[in-house]
Amino acid sequence: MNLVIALFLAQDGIANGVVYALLAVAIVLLFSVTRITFVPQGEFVSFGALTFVTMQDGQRPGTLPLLGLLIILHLIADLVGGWRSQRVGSLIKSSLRSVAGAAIVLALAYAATSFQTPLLVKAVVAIAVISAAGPLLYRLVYQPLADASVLVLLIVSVALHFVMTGVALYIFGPSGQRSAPLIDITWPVMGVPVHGQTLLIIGVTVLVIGLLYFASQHTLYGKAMQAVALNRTGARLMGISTALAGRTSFLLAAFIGALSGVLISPTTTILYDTGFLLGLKGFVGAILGGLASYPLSALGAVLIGLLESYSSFFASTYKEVIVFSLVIPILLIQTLRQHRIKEDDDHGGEALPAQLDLSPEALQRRRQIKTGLSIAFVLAVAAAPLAFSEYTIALLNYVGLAAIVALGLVLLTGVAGLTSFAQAAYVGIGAYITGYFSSVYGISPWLTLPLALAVAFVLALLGSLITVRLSGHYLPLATLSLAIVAYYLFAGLEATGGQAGMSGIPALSIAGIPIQSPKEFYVGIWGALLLLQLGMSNLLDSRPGRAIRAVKSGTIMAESLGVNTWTMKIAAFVIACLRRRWPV
Amino acid sequence: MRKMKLLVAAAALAISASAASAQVKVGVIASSTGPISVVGLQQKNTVALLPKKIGKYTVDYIYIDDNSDPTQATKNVQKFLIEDKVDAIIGPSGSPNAVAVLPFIADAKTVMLAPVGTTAVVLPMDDKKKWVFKTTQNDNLVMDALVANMKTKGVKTVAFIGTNDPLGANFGKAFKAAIEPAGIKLVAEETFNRADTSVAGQSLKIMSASPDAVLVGAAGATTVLPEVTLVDQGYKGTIYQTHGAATPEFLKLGGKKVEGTILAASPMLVQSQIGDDVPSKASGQAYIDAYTKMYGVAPGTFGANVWDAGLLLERTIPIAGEKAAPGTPEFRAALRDALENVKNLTGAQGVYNMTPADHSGFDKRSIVTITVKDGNWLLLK
Repeated sequence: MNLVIALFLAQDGIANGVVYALLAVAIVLLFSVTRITFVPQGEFVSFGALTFVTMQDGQRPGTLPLLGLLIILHLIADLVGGWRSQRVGSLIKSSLRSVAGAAIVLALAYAATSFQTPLLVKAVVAIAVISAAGPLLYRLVYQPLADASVLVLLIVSVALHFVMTGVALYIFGPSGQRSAPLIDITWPVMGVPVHGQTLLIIGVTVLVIGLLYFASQHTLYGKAMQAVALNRTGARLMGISTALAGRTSFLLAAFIGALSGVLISPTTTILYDTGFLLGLKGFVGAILGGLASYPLSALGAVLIGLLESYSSFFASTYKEVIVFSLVIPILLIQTLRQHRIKEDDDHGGEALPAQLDLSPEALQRRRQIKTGLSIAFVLAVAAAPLAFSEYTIALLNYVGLAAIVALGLVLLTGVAGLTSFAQAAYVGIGAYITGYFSSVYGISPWLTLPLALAVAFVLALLGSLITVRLSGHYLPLATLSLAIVAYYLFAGLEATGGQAGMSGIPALSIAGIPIQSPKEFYVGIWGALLLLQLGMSNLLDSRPGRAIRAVKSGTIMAESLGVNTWTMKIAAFVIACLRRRWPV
Repeated sequence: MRKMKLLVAAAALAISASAASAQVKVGVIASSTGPISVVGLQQKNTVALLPKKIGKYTVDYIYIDDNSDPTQATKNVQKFLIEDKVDAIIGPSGSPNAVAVLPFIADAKTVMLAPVGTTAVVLPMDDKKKWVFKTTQNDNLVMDALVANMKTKGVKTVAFIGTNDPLGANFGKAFKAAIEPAGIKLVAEETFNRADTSVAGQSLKIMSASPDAVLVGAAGATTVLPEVTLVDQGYKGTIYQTHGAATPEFLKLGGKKVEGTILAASPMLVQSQIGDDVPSKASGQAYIDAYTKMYGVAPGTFGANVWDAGLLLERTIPIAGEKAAPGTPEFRAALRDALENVKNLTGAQGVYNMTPADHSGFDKRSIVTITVKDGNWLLLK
């Protein structure tokens, strides 16, 4: 590697990094004001870019009717939500006022797409349409959940990501797009060609981040948003509307996303799902900056861009592994630094369960109902193979597998209050181990299955030793990174068959007869499910089980009662991972 | 009156039973929605053009979309096999989807005519894959054609950049196997992701190895970024693409920067330029005409892979019908044997000569070398 290459890579890294920086700033803004870990930030990029390119092709983009739909849904949500508490007249008036901006943008966009317009006008229209959709999205998806825990908001965000990718695929189609460049000039700097577009992106990024920083420090709105970020209840008592703050921050986030999309659309091929990885890298940058400071997050994002650029030169297969592996130690350091401050905040908004009737008769009755239902369920499962066709049984097998997965997640998330996206990685490890020993050494799957379980157990234990120290929303973020790392690592390694994966893994067999018909699988899957269900109920009623349940309702409380939190968190994690081994 | 009704019902039943025995059921899976619909939509449209009567049999095509999702493809296949009891399956559109359904096909001992790119469904041939027949050119044919062109240009060193997925990995493997006997040296091997917005690092690595030529191993819109980056960085050698780039998207997104690219692909891509020495010319034209008549636009090469599946069935169903009646395991086994013995069947893209080891059956006549000139495909002679 010589100096020219180093400069070249630096230029590429910065060009990518500033886009990550824009997204990182938007993510930090959303997180600090609304406590939403906004996973779909990258989707705004795809939407913005594809809207822009579709207009260049002389067509009316599908995002326009989409915006119209959002406006109508917004009005309906307002009317349905508020008809009891407000007078109809004032309700309609306030509701119309809140969508007025979006409606004007929509009308102008329809007008602009009816004529031939210059490229710049198209860019502005595309950005305006997506920006207008931001606050509507907040009103529809997040405002009803404004007081939910960070974890709930994160899970909703993941769901919204899938919805938005699906919508993008539907309205823009699966083919890639590329825009005409806004500035088509190149200057040579020390033998390295620097593109005008790159300079434009850097300039705009610096401007946006500067403006945001200035606005948050020196304007009334900025200060109000900061107040919301610092203390929601306090801000509300001072007469600041948290809903307005939320809508404003979504407006800004959507604006930043669409702007990045329009800026990068001439430099690369944009597909309907291009934004997701961009957004994730913005996230890693934001995490580097502690999810709090704009300049630090922007700096972190540029570092990610540089790291990515250099690693794509030296080890392109493991690029993502390198970038996303960074997340875990950083999150760990941050958790250790701000030990447990967030804990109470996370559980603050959760509603208490309704008071249960605890009289002996009621308990007795509930137990009877529970036993009755369990027996009925077991009988129904047993009777199904007799009653249904083979194809229905095959479908029920998928249901059973999903139920086993759900059981693991219930234990992990529902009971212990931990969230993991890395479960699939553990499934993969188990499958690869079974596959490797069975196909390469010809060992019976009956022997390799316990081996896979044991290895997954050890790995889950090691993984959880690291990740379980992370509290609150750090844990799901770390496990998400872990899942991405595992995906690219398995794909890159020789032993796992690389991208081709493994085949020729022999089927499980009993007394020499391979298990292959849907009914045989049905017995195995649903039998395992029932056993696991039985085992889990017993586990939860045992002493460690009750301790696991206590972890969710506050680490500090459980600890003061003498429960070692870590041990319990790890136990929950490992048990959940093991549970996922069987279907492999 | 009641008796009358019963009689009519019984008669109807008898007729439908006899009709069923003279009917062949074919399940078709194509991805008409989702990311693979770039390929799958044409394939779905082609189903309406497949032969409805073969010999004494009427053919019933049952079509289901798999939404580009491998799990859905396995569910569709199970429905075909268990509920519809089909005699053969055409599809699915995507390579991962085809790989996912393999075990079910093998267990049910039913043939699958796969219009997919990956050779992993037929190579290396084993007990499971012997039920699969692939209606596309194998990667090695494409690579041989490209390497032959490289030799005429005096290429001594070459670099490969492919997507970090099974498709790119298989291209890389086939390419390495093809250049070795030709004495061409691989000096750089890089990967990138479909979603990457920059491949500057990989491109620089390739530039610093200064190869005489570069091959991009990707498919669809993804093929454009590495080539454009190399050109932007001032790469002067020849850039080669596989048949994965043989889409209108490549020309549209690449624009002026992909001028002079050399790729190897189906002769159908340059249908109007090929001479009568190309055996598949007439069959390809028949397909294009039929498709254009029904849909008003000309099809791409992906739809032809399903059209060829229809031609293969047209040849083999009467042969299998002599051995057993449709709907029986014996018929399905006979159909498989007949497919394995297909000789000199001219499809829309080449000539099939199946053997027990080769379930794709194409030879080098199914590949032509093409370049990009003035934003269009130009046949290299």
